[in-house]
Order: sequence, then C-alpha cells, then structure tokens
Amino acid sequence: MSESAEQQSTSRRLSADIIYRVLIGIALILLLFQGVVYVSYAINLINFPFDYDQGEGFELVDVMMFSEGEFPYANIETYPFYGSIYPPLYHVLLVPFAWLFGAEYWYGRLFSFVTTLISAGAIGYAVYQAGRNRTIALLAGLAFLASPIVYHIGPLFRQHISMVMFEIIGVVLLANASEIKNTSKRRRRLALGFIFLIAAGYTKQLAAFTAIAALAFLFIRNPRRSIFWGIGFAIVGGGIFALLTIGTDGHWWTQTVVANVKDFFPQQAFGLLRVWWEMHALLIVPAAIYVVYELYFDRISIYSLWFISTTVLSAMSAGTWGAGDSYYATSIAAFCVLSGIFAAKIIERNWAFYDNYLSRLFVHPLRRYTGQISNVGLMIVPLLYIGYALMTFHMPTSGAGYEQIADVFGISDNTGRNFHDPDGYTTLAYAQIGHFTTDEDIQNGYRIVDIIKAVPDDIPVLSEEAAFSLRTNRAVITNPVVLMILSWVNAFDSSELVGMIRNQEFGVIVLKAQFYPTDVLLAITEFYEEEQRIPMNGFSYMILRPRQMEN
Amino acid sequence: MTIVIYQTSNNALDIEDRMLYSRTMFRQNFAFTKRQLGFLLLIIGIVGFGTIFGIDIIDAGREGGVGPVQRVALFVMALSAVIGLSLIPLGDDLA
Repeated sequence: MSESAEQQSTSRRLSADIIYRVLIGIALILLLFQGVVYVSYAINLINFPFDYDQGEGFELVDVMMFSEGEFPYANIETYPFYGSIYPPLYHVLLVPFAWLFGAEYWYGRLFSFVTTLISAGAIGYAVYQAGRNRTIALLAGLAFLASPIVYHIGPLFRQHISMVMFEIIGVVLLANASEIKNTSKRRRRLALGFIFLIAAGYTKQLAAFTAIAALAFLFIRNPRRSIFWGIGFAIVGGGIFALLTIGTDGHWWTQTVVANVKDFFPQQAFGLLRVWWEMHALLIVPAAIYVVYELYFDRISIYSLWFISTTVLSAMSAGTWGAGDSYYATSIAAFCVLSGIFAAKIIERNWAFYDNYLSRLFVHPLRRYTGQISNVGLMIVPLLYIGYALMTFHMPTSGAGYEQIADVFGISDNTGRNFHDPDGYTTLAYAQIGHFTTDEDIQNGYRIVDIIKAVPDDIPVLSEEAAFSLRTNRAVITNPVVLMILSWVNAFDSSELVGMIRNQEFGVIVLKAQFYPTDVLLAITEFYEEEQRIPMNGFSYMILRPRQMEN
Repeated sequence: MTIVIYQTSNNALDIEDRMLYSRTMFRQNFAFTKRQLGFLLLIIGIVGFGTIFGIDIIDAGREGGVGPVQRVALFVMALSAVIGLSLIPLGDDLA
C-alpha cells in the first residue's frame, strides 16, 4: 500500500472512530433515559399500597401463608376457597420480609426490581466475558431493562422476573462449565448452574424451556456429562415435586399442573409474537445472525440454544389463556446477550471461522474488504442500539420533567393513562400496565377499604383483589383465577361458594375483571346488585351489595 | 478486522485446547462434531415430523385436522432436518 493510500485508510478509520463514539454516546443517553423511566416507575409502584397488576395481592397472600407455616396449595372447594397456581420459591424468599413488615406490597416489588438489575448485570457480564467490550456490555444490560416487556413486569409483586434472573444466572454459570479442566471446580460450577435452574423452575414453571436448552447444550458438548447431570437434575427437581405433592395432599399437583393446562388462542399467540418482533427486531436480527454464525462457523454456545428454545416455546405458550407478553422476557434476555456478543465482536474485530464449504463460499471472498466492513460495522452497531431504543421507547407524558420532555419532543399519550407505550395497549394479552399510579388512585383504593371496613367483622366480604381484605384484616376469600381455570377442566366444584352467594352471606362483593367461574358470576348477578363503580389504575372496581329478594 | 479461518479440522481441535476427541458417544471426552450433530438433527427432524403428522392419522376421530401449534411444530421439525442436512458436510469441526 502506498503512503497516501495508507494515510487515506488511517483518516477513514479515525473518522469512523469519531462517528462511532458520537453515535454510541447517543445510544447510551437514550437507553440510560429509559433506565431513569424504569427507576421512576419502580419507585412509583413500590409506594402504591394496592394491586397494580391483576393477581399481585394473591402473591402476597401466598407469602403470608408461607410465613405462618401454611401451604397455599389447599382445598379450593371449601371455605376460604383459596389456592395458588405458582411454585413457592419467590414467596418463600419473601417470608423474612413478611415476618418483619407484615402484609405489604413494597418489599415484593422492591425484590423484583432488584432482580431485574441483577439480571441486567448478568447479561452485561456474559457479553463482556465473550466480547471484551465494556460499553457494549453496558448497552446489552440497559437494552434488557429498556424492553417494554421487562419494564412492565420488572417492579411487580409477581414471580416471573425472579424466574428470569435465576435462569440468566444459571445459563451464565453453565456457559463455560464444560471447558473447566479442574474436575472439582467444574463439578461445583455445574452443580451451581443446575441449582439456579431448579430455583428458576420452582419460581415459575416456564423455566423448563431454559432447562431444555441447558441440557441440550451439555449434550452437544459432552453427552455423558449431560446424562449424568440431567439424571441428578431430574431426581432433585422431581423429589421436591413429590414432597410438595405429598405435603399438600395432591393439591400442589392439581393447582400447579392441572390448572396450567389451558386453552390455546392462535390470535393471541400471533399478536404477542408480532409485538415481540416489532419492538425488538433490531436486536433480534443480529442475535439470529450470531446463532447462524455459531451453527456453521464456530462452536454452538448455550446462549444460542437458550435463545432458540425460549423463543420457540415461549411463542407457542404465549397463546394460552392467561399468558401475556411477559412470556418473552427470557427470550429478550437471550437476544440481549447474543446481540451484545455480536456487536462486541464487530467492534473488537474479533471473528474466527471454521474452514468449510460455507466459509469458502461466503467469508473468503470478503477478506480483502475487511477494512471497509470494519468501518461500516462501527456505524451499524450504535445505530442498532439507537433504533432499538426508539422502537421500545416508553415514558410517562405527565409529571415533573416528563411532561416537559414529552412536549419538547412531541411524545403523545397513546394509552389514555398519561403514558406513551410503543404498542399503545392495543394488542390482545399485551399487559396494559407501565403507566404511573396517582394520588387519586390511592385515595380511591382507600374508598373501597372504607366501604369494607363499614361491614361488621362477623360478615365476610368477597373481594376479587386481595389488597382490600388484607388492609382491613379480613380473611382473603377465593383466588378467583385459580377457581376459574380449574372449573374449565372440571376440577372445581363450586357448590359451597355458590351456596354462600345464594344465601347472601357476603356483606359486600368487590369485582374487577370478573375472573370467576361462570356459575359463580351468575349467582353474584342474581343475588347481588351493583351499588357503585370506583376507578383505580384505569380499571373499574364494582361494589355490589345483597339484592333485595322477593320471597 | 481480524478474521481467522481455521484451516483444518485439526486446527479447530487445537483451538479447543486439544480437547480429546472420541467417536464413541459416551466416552469421557466425547463432544459432537458438526457432522454428527447434522445427522442427529436430521433424524430428529424426520422422526419428529412423521410423529406429529402421524397423530392425525392414528387419532382419526379427532376434529379440526392439523392445528396451529401442530403446524408450528411441523415447521420446526422440517427446519431441524434441513439444518441437519446442511451441517453434515461440515465434517469434524466441533459443534
């Protein structure tokens, strides 16, 4: 190369570096802003004393039951008709908080929020380990938190995001375990990885998809080890399952397995798949390219198998009743890792290819253009993260600071709840949450509490949201969704509950989504009448009193 | 940009710190090669496709034919077989 050509090349390289730094700065600002929105949302929810997402209160009831040494997996056909469809680990981990602070929402939400930060950290660590680029590792972690799907469920009193954290840690631990030469160190690492996968499974059943990927990965790397550890994994996991089934007289089986066999709605599955793709395509594509690269030109990592397994199986299960966008949270973690490694390899110019018919066909001809490709790559990587930040962009459109930002950039409230969401709450089963709660919401929640307080203590109250019963120190009667889905598979006899309604034994009934079995709702309609509706968080709470009956 | 081409399969094994390689699947240090993985995916794809499709033939009384989940599963199995086929020529590089 002549001196002037070399100068030209160096100058092009310098310009590319400067543009890269500016663009990566913009990507960081956008994703950090989404991080600020996320922290604001978490603080807002941690201070909110009622259910924000459907079912949070029942998670709290599970925690309280465990704190008193009781299983929530009980006979749902007799008073108080309470059961739980979720495994126990999340609730058990919160028991010390219940002992210290009683029935409160804040610690469950704070715990979930912290798990998302740990998850983002683990994603960043995985990317750094494979790609050796700190900025990209940071962007990958922030990209996880910026996904509206992660944002929705991050600070909720729900177990899903804790499961995701356990899955991520388990996968990161297993990623290079097979290559550890020291036998005892390798065994310790494998054992720890599987402990986290079991923890994930006993936080929520969907972790099975990650376990499938982990076992497949170990099988490819070393079938003998995979079978040995797989048997151990099955014995421990199955043993806990058997103990819980025996310890709860079979109710654990009925409520966590039978109740989770639900109808499939293709329209819901395709809608959520579309949302997942439209919001995250700019990171899904590089992740998919990286999977193809590993498949044909390098060794297949656990991250690739994890991405494939969780995406395909989550896409299918997201079509079942009660599923939602949260089912994609693990897939999002996986593509954040893969796209991060892809980006880091581009920036660090660190690609290696097996010599085979495909590399001879597609890679060899490009070798003389590596300089140009490298410069283009420097531009593309930050643009991908900028595009991703814009496609997932969400923020409140009111409140200090946010209102001004929304005005300046013309960001509109497209949800009707002072919040801008990339979907706008339009897709079936896409969680209509993310907006901030208001003082009015809290006041209205306490209006419902006051209504219940006015009912004499010896008269029970049926509330579809557990918070109102917990705030008034009353028994929590029913976990409606559990009753409803078990009624669909003929595993719930509602006669005792319906009998109580027909006898008008409840002083007040509070309904929200009306997720009760049909015969229960029919009995409520016949024997109770609506007194008023109280809005909270954009939902309408119906207050019903016993209807005057003609004899 | 540094693009390293592993020149031979033996080099690929060197890169993996000379991991011992054996053709017997349940040996201590066996790891799948691209070719072996290709055959495995091809078999899984063909058997899986046949099984899923066969459900309707065996369970003839069932209504509705091939459902949406079944269609997705059929596609996944077909894809598995195609990927398997494309991996077979890649030889002894570690999978």
